[in-house]
Amino acid sequence: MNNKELFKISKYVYAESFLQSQLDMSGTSVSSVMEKMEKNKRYIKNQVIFTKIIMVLYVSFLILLPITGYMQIEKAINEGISITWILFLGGVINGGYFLFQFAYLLMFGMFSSTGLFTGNIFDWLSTLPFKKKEMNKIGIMTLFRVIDAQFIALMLIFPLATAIFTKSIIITLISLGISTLNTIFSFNVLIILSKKFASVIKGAEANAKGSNLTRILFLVGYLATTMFAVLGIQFLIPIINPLYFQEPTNLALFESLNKWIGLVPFPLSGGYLLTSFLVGFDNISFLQILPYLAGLAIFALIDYLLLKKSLKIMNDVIISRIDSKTQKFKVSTVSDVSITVVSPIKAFIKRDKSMILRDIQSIIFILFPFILPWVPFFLALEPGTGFDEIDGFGIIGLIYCIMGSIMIIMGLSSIEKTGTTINASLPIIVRDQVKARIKWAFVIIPLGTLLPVIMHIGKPFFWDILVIQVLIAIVGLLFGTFTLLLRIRLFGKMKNKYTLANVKFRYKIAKNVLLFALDLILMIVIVVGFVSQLTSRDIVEFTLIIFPIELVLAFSLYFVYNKMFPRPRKLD
Amino acid sequence: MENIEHALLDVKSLSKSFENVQAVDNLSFHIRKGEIYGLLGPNGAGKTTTIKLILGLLEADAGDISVLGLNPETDEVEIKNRIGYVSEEPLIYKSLTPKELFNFIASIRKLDGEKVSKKLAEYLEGLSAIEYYERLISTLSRGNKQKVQIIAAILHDPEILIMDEPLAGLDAKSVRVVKEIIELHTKRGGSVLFSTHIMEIAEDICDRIGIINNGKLVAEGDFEELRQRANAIGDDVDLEDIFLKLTDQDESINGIIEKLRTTML
Repeated sequence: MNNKELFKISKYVYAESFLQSQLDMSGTSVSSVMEKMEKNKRYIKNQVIFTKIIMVLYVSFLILLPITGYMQIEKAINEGISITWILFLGGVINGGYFLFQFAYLLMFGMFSSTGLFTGNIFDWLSTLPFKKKEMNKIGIMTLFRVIDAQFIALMLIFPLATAIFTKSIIITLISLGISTLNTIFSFNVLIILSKKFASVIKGAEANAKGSNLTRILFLVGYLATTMFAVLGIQFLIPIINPLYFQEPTNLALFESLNKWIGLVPFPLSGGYLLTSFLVGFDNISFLQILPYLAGLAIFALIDYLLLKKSLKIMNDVIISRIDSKTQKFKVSTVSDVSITVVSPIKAFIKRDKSMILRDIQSIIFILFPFILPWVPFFLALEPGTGFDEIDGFGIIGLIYCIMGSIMIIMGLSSIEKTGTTINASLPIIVRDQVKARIKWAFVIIPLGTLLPVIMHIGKPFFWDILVIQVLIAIVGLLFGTFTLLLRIRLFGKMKNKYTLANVKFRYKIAKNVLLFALDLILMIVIVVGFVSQLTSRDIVEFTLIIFPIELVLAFSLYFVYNKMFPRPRKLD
Repeated sequence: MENIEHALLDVKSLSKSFENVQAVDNLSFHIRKGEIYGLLGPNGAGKTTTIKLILGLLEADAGDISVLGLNPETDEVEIKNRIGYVSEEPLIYKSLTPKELFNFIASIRKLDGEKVSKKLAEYLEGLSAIEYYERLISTLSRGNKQKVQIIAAILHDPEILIMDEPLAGLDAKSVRVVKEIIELHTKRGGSVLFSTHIMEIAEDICDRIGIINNGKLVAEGDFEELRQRANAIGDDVDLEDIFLKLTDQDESINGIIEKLRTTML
């Protein structure tokens, strides 16, 4: 079979791997992904195209960081700023750009490539009459299909932009060389991490001792990196460009720093080498760039070793070689069988905990309410770059808290979807089920909203911020409860009862639109109310107005909850 | 008229439609104490919809259902305390281990921890599922998932077992064990609603069989009665022949077999 034919076949393997990634990512919502696919045959194709376009757009936007830096370097040299300082800043900023690029690739590539490693997608292929060599080729071609747009964007956008802005062939070629090394490095790391990620989220290791913690740490790190990559870049550009003109006094320190950190293979040696060429050999000696060249040589060697490792991983996946490390199952015996009976509400909470820890989508839904409330606190760190006024700070906090509470409700609601058979057969009292969900929200929302307050301990605004955050947390709780009850009302109303399962499928789209619209309108009303009160009153007056309103709303929701889910009657 | 005074499950003139499809159409049947009732029908005949209506998961357009003398629409929780359900697709929490799942079930059903632990250990051993006790359900094979589901359905000694293709994916030994479980269940007075496509199994274990097609009950009775209903077939017939005849699939299947012979031979 020739390469063209094999490439055609890899298209089907790729579609399978992308679907597998979508299913892995969907966690407890597998059925809804399948439903979307049933309704729209182009669903997978559209998702593929969308993911690739987003990645290319992000990389294109990111290019502003080094390009605006080029302009500053030229300006700084003309203004007589020390070359040591320019070299340091240029090296670090370009290195930062390479690091961001790497983070973006992980962010957009990880979930698409994980499917290659979790679903044994090459298994069915191995039943067909392909030679081993052909199987390997199909595997590599499938991988290329997973990362083609990202690969091209990562490799070419940077040299192209450099060519346009510097109009120098040599600098363009250097940037192309560095870009090639970075791209090879990034993709090899992506393959290695995706394999690890696949083991952590699925398969034999998924229930191994300590893997829950690994999974959470992995996801927290992943979310923190990617959020920083997306949010941080917007604030970095206006901050770092003026730094070129703020020359420090202790230049000797930076001179030695330039020598040593320029040796760091990734991402700094490339960043330094490029800056050296931008500064020009009128200002810098060839001897000075030797550490950077050495760093790049080490980088090339690392690339080679990583390439060997990732090719081995791919080869193992393609021929479905069993990894002995992942086959260590615990074999239970009769003595392990011991049932602990707890109250139904506790049973729901225990079940949810186990399921959340093993499901990526649920972890993300639960982590976001913890991560989002930090954003306004970080924005408020630097006066002039964020909100130094407490009211602006409170509004942003309120919006993020409401978003977080919606995410919790969405995440917790999706948990029920996988166990429909069990739910159908168990004598579940819906009141208990709903109560367990509300209990989760009552832990996560206040904790997530109040944790960032520790950043302001001892600061003049501390008590004001604490009070605002408490009031915000209550809004989040009310909002979450409202969304949960409304969702059940729209999708789970039966003749004599309500259920958490989606039983009313008619007008599903219209109901989802209604749910979204009502949430949005309510959010706007709350935010406008908050703003008007917060800007016109002091914190005591503000609390005296908002808190009673929150109490009234809480009692109203409690009344609705009791109406929808009355205490069960006892049969004689 | 048959005496249905002791029926544990009684379905009368049940109808349910989805948009333009009549899934269940004026369906009536009952299951007596200690009886295994087989519900047979081709794909899309309305078996699963009927079961969902009995469980109170769907609301009927018309008709009555009485489960242990209770109404599924109003007494859902009480009914579920007294029945066990095995579905065709084991849609059990795949990100839990069997251990966590059984703990959850025992807690929701408010069972006695000590007693249920002993019983569970025996069931797990009997169905050779003990070694998977602490593995994720998602990593188990179809058959092992089915075993977990079957144990989950019988753990609380239900009075009625509703089983939709319970033997799918099971190995020979487990099939034997499950058949034995069903028999013991009926010996102590329990009833079974057994839905299957495998005619030999229905013929082997069911006391009475209801054949359902396009949501309607087209025939009901024990094997001998059904054979008489389909008497045009001949003497040497099995339930499969009777089923195909009564669901009007006998002629079309002959045509398909003829075409296959031409293609493959």
